Order: sequence, then structure tokens, then C-alpha cells
Amino acid sequence: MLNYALNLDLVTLPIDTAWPAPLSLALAFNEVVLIEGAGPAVSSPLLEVAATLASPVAGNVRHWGRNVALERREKLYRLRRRIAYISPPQVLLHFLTLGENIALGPCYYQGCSESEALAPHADLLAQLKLQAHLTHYPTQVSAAIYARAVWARELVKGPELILAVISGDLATTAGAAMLVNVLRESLARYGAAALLLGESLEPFYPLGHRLFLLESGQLRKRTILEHRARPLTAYLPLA
Amino acid sequence: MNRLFRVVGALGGLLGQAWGRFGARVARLLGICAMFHRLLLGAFIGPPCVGLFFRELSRQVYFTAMRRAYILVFTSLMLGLLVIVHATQQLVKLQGEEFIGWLLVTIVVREVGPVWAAFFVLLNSGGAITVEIGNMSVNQEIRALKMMGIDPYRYLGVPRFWGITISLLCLYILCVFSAIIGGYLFAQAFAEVFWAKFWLSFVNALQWIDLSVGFAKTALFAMIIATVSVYFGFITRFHVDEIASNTSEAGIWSLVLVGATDIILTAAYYL
Repeated sequence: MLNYALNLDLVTLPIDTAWPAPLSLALAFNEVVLIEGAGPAVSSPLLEVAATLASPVAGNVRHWGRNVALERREKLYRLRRRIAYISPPQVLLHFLTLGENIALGPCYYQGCSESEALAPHADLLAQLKLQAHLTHYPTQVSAAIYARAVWARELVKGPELILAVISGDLATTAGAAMLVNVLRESLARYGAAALLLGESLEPFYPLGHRLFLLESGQLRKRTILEHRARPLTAYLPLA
Repeated sequence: MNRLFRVVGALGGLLGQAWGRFGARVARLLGICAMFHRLLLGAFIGPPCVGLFFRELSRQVYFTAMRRAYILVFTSLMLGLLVIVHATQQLVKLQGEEFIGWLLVTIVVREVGPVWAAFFVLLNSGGAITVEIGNMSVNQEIRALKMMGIDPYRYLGVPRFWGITISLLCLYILCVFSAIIGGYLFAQAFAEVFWAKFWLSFVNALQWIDLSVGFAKTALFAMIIATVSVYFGFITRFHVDEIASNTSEAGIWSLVLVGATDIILTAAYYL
């Protein structure tokens, strides 16, 4: 059980959803699990429970072996610092600029200034094409930039677990390509596990270790086609 | 017999309802007390986010104390004028001009000044805080803060709590000075009481205990208004409709608690 970054053990979600009940799903360290056929509305209840924002009706949610239902508030806040949660209901604070929003977490925990907090993440901001918009307020930017700022805010945490719904502009070919690069770097840099959900996640297959399809209230395991063609040498220390 | 049962049943229902409402009020009061404790200690416990804290604090002080301070100056001038208008003519007839200072100290410094400034802050900032935090709650911004691992009570509540307290203390000083000047202007214009005599009378009447009571009342009123406003902002959950009802409830709770605190402190002063 300690080998899992996230373990949903016989979980019943708080509202009647398309998910199987009880649901069991475990993510090992550094593992990327993709669930297709789950749009934003369907994905949110599962991710809220996984991100500790909602409690399940039944079952246990464990992060790195710790049962979150038993954690005290301060410890829960510290636990959430290790989780990136990206979903359409996630919003930016309206009275802060994008830069202040992105730097808020590091500024709060490390007591540093905005520029000090953003400096180590200049590459990430450049990859997400946000540098020209850091002084803008959330109401002044398009939905695509807003969504990218939410990604940036969550990834500057240096997360060890990424829970994300891929939707909107980031589900298009160009958006997904940008996101795949960003995710690849974050996964490698922080050794993170990831649970990605979306209607179609084909651009993310190269990152995935396991693929499921949510269909008629059941999670069906699928083979990732890219993995079949991947040469075995990539997995062996032959060099 | 049936009628008797019905009457007893109705009475029981009414008593049950009254008990339920009383219980709800007590629960609210306990919630406000818990919030007070959390906001009071929040600045000293937790991660060292001094920069963020001061940014929010200065924003609150600007909003509460600076943006509309001229309105308080104007109303305080009127307050001083009103105090003197009723007193001067009688005191002049009795050759008791030296009591003008004592009257100003008692009414403006100790009794009405803190309440006057507190009402101004309640109207100017109390409702605004409840609406702002309530809106953030409805728009899921509080949840976003929680997901960032940031304690929203500490990040949003604590700077507003201390910001309101600092602002109200400054506004109280402003209110007292404005009321004194207003009082002097009237006394000079209508009763020919000159500045030196007026000022001397005021300074002679002013004692440390008056100032202490004034500042203690002001600080407590500020903390009560801030706590109640923040509390009712945070208990807003899902609907925009809740914001309006919570804002009016916050105003009423603030008034009741400020009134009760004023009575307790005044009684303690005279005991």
C-alpha cells in the first residue's frame, strides 16, 4: 500500500455518477494512468475525491499510504501542496494577476517575492506561452490562457501527483502537444505519478503506462498501441 | 379533550421552534468565537508569508481607512458640533465653560467616538468583506486556495482582521480630532469660547483612563466587526442569494455584539 501515490480503495463517489461503484484504482509512483471517455462533468467527482476536496460516501482514499480522512487540517494542506489538481472547476483568484496567482503557493510557503518564486520556473512559463500575460488579471485573458495559467499554478508546486482533466483548447492537437512536453518534463523532474482523464487522450499515449476506457459505468482496460511498437531496448539498461 | 391535546401540541411545536432558533443562534455565536480565536492567532502560526500578509493588510487599510476617510471627518465635525450646540448655551449661562472639555472627553473620546468610528467601518468595510469572501466562496476561489495548500482563513481572514483593527484605531483618532475641531468651531462662532480656553479645558479633562477606554473599545469593536464579517463570508457556500442574506445578518450580528461589548466596557469603567 505504501508503494502507491494514490490508492482509491472500494470508493463510492458522493454523487451518483457514471463511475463504477465501488471503484478501486491505484497509481504507483511514477506511473501515468489515462482514462478515456470521461469528460469534465464526469471526471470532476472522481478527481475531487482523489484531490481530498470531497469525501467519498464509502471506501478509503490513501495518498502515499496515508488515509486522508484521518489527517488534521494543517497536514491536509501540506499534503495538497504535493498534488496538482487541474480541472475545469479550478479557478484563479480574481484580484491577483496571473503572475501573482502562479507564484502564490511558493510565496505563501517560502515567504519569497513573486519574481523569486517564478524565476526557477521560467522554462515552464515559456513553454505554456504565459510570459507576456503575467501582469494581466484573469478577467483580461482568453479561456485558453486562463487554462494554461491554472496548469502553471499547479505545476510550480513541484507536484508528486498530477490529477488532471484534459479539456477545452488543451484537448486540441496543438494544445495537447504543448501539454505533453510540459507534462513529460514535470514527470521527469519531480518523479510524479499522474492520472489524466478526458474524452480522448490519444496525444498522451506516449506518456501513459495504463489506459482505461470508461464505458457504461465500467472501466475497461485497453492496450496503448504506441507501447506495442516501442522497442524493448528503451526499457533495458543496454547503453 | 382533543382540543386540549391540539393546544398542547401547538405549544410544544412553538417551544420546539423557539428552542431550535435559540440553538442556531448559540451555534452561530460559538462559530464566531472560534473564528475570532483563529484570526487572532493566525498571524503568528503557520508559514512565514510576511510579504503576502502585508500586501493584503495594506490593501485592507487603504480600503477601510483612506478611501473614504473624508466622510468620517465630515460626520465627526458634525458630531462635535452637535455635542457643543446643546451644551454650550446652557454652560455659558451657568458660567461653566470649563466643562466643555469634560463634556467632549466623556462623549467623544470615551463613549460616542469609538461607536461612531465603528459604525463607519461597519458600513464601509464590514459588508464589503462579507460580500467579497462570499463571492470568492461561491466562485470556488476558496476551494482553489485550499487546493493550493493555503489556509484561506489565514490568507484572506487574518490580513482583513488586523487591517480593520489598525484602520479603526486610526479612524478613531481622526474622529476625535475632527469632533474637537467641529466643537471648537461652533463654540467659537456662537458662544465666543476662544481656542486657548477651549483647548485647556479639553486637555485638563482628558485623562489616561479615558484614552485607554476609548482605544480598548475601538480595538474590540474592530475585531468584532472583522470577525463577524469574515465568518459570514466564509459560511456562504453555493448560491449568490446566500451572500445578500449573510451580509445583512453579519451587519445585525456586528451591531448586537458591538452594542453588548460597549455596555460591558462602560459598566466596567463605572464600577
